[in-house]
Amino acid sequence: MRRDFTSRDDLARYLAEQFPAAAERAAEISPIPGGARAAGETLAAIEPGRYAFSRNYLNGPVTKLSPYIRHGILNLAEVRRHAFAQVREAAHAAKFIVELAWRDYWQRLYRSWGEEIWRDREPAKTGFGAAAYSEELPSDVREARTGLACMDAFVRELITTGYLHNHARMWFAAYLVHWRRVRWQSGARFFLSHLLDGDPASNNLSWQWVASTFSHKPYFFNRENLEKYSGGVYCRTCPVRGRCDFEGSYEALADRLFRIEVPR
Amino acid sequence: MNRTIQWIHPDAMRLVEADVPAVFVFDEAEIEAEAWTLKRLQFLYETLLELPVEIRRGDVAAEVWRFAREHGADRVIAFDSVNPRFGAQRESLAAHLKVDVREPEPFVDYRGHLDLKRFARYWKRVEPLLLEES
Repeated sequence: MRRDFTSRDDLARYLAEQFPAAAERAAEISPIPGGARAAGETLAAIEPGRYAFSRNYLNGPVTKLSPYIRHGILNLAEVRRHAFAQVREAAHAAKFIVELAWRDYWQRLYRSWGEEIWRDREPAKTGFGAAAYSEELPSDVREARTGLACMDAFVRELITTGYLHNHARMWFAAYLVHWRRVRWQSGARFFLSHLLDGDPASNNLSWQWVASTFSHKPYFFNRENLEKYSGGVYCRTCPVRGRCDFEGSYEALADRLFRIEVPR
Repeated sequence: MNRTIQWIHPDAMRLVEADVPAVFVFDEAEIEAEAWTLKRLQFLYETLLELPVEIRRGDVAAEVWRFAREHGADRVIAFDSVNPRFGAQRESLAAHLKVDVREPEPFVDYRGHLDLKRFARYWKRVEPLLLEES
């Protein structure tokens, strides 16, 4: 295949000709560039010390290293070494190292389970059997037309950039599986299709963690949590502000969403 | 024949060795199975443009084997991957070539049994190794 391109757009046009089905699914190009040079610049910019305190905030110092790690442009060992070099005490990099360890953990499970990562590892702890969850990703979700400012924004961001903050991934997964009662596999396929860091192991097993088919309780959230960690950017303009499905205490939401008592 | 080529794949987009002819094949089956969009292809392609690698598309094992024949090679080196797709391709290639799979640098060098039932159990074992500066 060709190697001479004048710009990113020139390359994108060539790829759209070569892979028309991929372009038809989504023709957007991510602002995150590929390549070892970009990977090195991204690595140089990480702040493992600050990461520990504010990584859960959408505007927090997340590293965006995941696409480079997923494709082996950087490996976990060199990222860990670099993180240690950025902090005065090893303990300050601990939270960041835990996140690297999750990736290693998922890869180890993938080695033992292979394609089985597509199946429920355990029954869901929601009080519902697998048959209660629908197979299809609803079209209003896929097309960012749910009317929920947060979820629609997450879908648009996923499609246009190929990246989502981890907290946004968790909220979206919980919404799809627990509020819309869709099988986690449909959401996992949607993410794999669009995420630059889409990896069957990290992706599917994280979806299973949210769904509670690979954890001891389902992950869910309420509006207050989403508003806090998003800085309120979605709730402020949301057409259903104050009356959305995420309103309420965790206890009240658990009663509404699940058939069994869910520990917090 | 006593020559070697290297096979770059989406799980290890870097050279295994310098100065060994390299090939990357866009796996049409994987692209369709995971419904990749243009974003991912662009990201991978930009990575490849920085490497001295021949870029192809199609059936991975068939194209790597073709590339080996073109270079008069009877051996291929590649970094390992846990993806079953890689395992199947590696097996197909082994019918034609000596396949030398290298382990990428390990994140944690833990020699004992690791209980993977839950992350907390795995973490309990690896934490002391990972949180000390090496």
